[in-house]
Amino acid sequence: MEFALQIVVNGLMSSLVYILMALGFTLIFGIMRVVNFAHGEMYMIAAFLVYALVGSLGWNYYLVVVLSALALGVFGAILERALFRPFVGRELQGMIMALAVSITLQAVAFILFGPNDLSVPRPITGVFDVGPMVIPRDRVAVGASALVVLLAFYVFMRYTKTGLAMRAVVQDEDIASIYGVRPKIIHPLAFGIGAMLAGFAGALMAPIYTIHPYMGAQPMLKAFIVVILGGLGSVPGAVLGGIILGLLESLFATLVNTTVATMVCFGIVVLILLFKPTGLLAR
Amino acid sequence: MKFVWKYVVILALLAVAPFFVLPPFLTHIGVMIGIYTTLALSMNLMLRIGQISFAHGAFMGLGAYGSALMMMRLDLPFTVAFLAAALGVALLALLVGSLFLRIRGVYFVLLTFAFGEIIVLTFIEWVSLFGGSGGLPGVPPPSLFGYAIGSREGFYLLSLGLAAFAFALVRTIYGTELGAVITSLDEDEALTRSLGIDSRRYRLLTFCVSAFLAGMGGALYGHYLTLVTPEDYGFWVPVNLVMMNVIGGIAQPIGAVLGALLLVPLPELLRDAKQYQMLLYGIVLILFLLFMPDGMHGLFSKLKGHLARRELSR
Amino acid sequence: MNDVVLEVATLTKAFGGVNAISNLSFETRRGEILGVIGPNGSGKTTLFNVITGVLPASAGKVRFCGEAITGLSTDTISQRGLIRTFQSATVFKNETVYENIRRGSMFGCIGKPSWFFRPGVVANGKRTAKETVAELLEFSGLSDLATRIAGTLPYGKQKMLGVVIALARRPLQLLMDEPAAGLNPTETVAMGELVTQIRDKREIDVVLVEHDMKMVTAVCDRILALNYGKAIAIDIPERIVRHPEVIDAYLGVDHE
Repeated sequence: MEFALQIVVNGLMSSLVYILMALGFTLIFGIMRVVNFAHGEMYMIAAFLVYALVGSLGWNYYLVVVLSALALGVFGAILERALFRPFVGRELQGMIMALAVSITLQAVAFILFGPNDLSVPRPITGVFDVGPMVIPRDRVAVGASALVVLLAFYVFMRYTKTGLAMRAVVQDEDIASIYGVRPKIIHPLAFGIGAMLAGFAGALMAPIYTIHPYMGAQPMLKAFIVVILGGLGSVPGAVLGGIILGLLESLFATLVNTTVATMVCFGIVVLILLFKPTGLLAR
Repeated sequence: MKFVWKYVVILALLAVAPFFVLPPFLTHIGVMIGIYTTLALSMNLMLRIGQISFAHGAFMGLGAYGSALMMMRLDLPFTVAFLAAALGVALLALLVGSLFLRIRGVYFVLLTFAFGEIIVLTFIEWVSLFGGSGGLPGVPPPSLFGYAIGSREGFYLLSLGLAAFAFALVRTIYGTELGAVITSLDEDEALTRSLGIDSRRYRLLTFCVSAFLAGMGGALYGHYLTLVTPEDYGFWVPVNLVMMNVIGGIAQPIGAVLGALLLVPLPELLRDAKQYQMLLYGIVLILFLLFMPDGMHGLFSKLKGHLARRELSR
Repeated sequence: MNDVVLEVATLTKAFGGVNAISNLSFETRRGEILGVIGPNGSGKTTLFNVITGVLPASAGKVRFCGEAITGLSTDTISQRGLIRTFQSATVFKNETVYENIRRGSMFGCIGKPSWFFRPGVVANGKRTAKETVAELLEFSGLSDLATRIAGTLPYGKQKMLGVVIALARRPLQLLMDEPAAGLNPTETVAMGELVTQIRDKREIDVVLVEHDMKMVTAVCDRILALNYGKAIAIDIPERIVRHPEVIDAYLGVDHE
């Protein structure tokens, strides 16, 4: 029983970070039909920002988390404007562009920081002992912060005019444009918000994992799986997918090992793409 | 006939080159170009039906492990192991293709990506057969007609032969009615089907031939390196192959050859500065995507066709 | 005159909860040009898509030359001799007019890749294709444009070519989806003549979905009027244009 509870708690804490990554990924696809294979690099850049500003310059960690997320928001909007705009709606070409951006950003990070694993000191240490369970305090902090960001995102999408406009574009861009939603503003905004969410994830996880140029690949894979589970382009689907992936991984990683856990997830992805490509939440 | 002679002369010149002109390092690059030409041509077939396959890394890997294991474990001669491995990959493509090819566009890419990852993870996880993440060392050298080919020049000839075979095969396919069908499927699938073409089977056939070439290229790669590791057959391999086609131009099989000629020497020359190589790769690709629509002529019409199909199905 | 060619029996096609076609029955006879009219969204194009197997039927049966074709794939139905044309100009845009027609003729013999193992199929097909192309270029008056790239032709010529590609396939019956849509009055008249000639000279039956009432009434032997996926009437043109429900649903709007 306690064992199962520990699996669930571990799983849910990973879920929150996966959802953070997946939301941006799915938002960008939903709005621009671009499969952003460079999404993991947004995460990676945020982690390096934390390394540079906290690790080297000694700034306050929490301030830097917010700053780097904002910086990535701006960076994402610039990327959209400069590189992705010609490929809106051309899915295959947009995807290749994202791959090119991903390669380039990895190389830049490599040149600036080298290939070695870097780390920043953890701002929070120790564990909570909840009954028989052991929960690292920093993971709880990450989970809580992710939750706050997710709630903010929810409120934004649900109650602001811009959020509503974005949801309209996900449904049908042509109809949305009739009601005065302008793609020229919505697209960079969506890309920026997507990158910002990935930036939050990267900055939050920077003290927990090691930092290196290729660190974006794993969270990118997770986001990919989550998004397929929930349906490419679906925001509620990303939340559901994130929870499922977190729990599945935690379960299989505890019972067998992480490679098998990943294999199982990819197996499910294949099945979903074959038989229900619109994801679990679609009618 | 004129065409054929042109190719024979080029091939003959290329074949004798390492014995007179090329220093060993360039011969090595020649081997790699030959292998990658085969692989890029294999991807060109997929691009022609408008479906980018990210399972091609795994197909290469299966060819490499298959050929190596059949020689090492079953003591089969090289030719048998090599061909059996490639045919096995084609057979796998036949099995999964009948399910996968119904899916189009970016969903197909993601599907083949996930499938490829599963296979690569199997290489890592099934240690007793595939040797885990360390891979399979000591892959025996190929032998033809009783002669073992261990030298770089030998590999060069083999790789050149394979590339020539792949080029001739793909060119012949595009030159015959099969090519007309493939092009038609890409240009306007609804029209092509209305004229009586069984698009499912033609797509399946193309996928199998493409997988066969990927299997052969992978197998030769494994024998050449004498080591087969899972990481050599991951996600970035098919990405690389797509890049070669994009930069070389998709419309003609020669584009795939040009792409390989252009992109293969880069990492070999910049071996000590991998990061600059990647940077160059990325930037070149971005520039091509933004400013060289000619090099990408084929992909453009592909996407047009894809969009038209989507509108039709609405 | 009473030979039934195409028989549609209690055909229904539902999208979600809405019936695009509901319980539709009609038949076409040998040597006949049947017109299908109806306002936008009355299920005309859906009807073609279901008949040719592009969309699966929700219920009902379609028979062609006495054999059931419901549930067969588009290409199999095409191989039986039931060929459709498209509402938009649907041609191989990057190929020449000649190559377009040649493919139409050729693709009939190489529907499945197994031709690869049957020597002679391609050679025979090529010989036939050569004759077919020459004859059809003459028939359609596209001879002068044979070497032009199809995508560069004016819209009217592209639509004409779309019909010719289908003819090259040697259909028993041709389903034409709004051949006159987007054409100017002169082109529309020419298209109407082409349809008549297809039946008279080539002895191919035609089902014609069309909005242009002048053309439909001039060309067709009988007309089927659809509204909301249901048949209002099927009759000779003279009676259809006076049918009160047809006028209500369709003509009335058009003449205002």
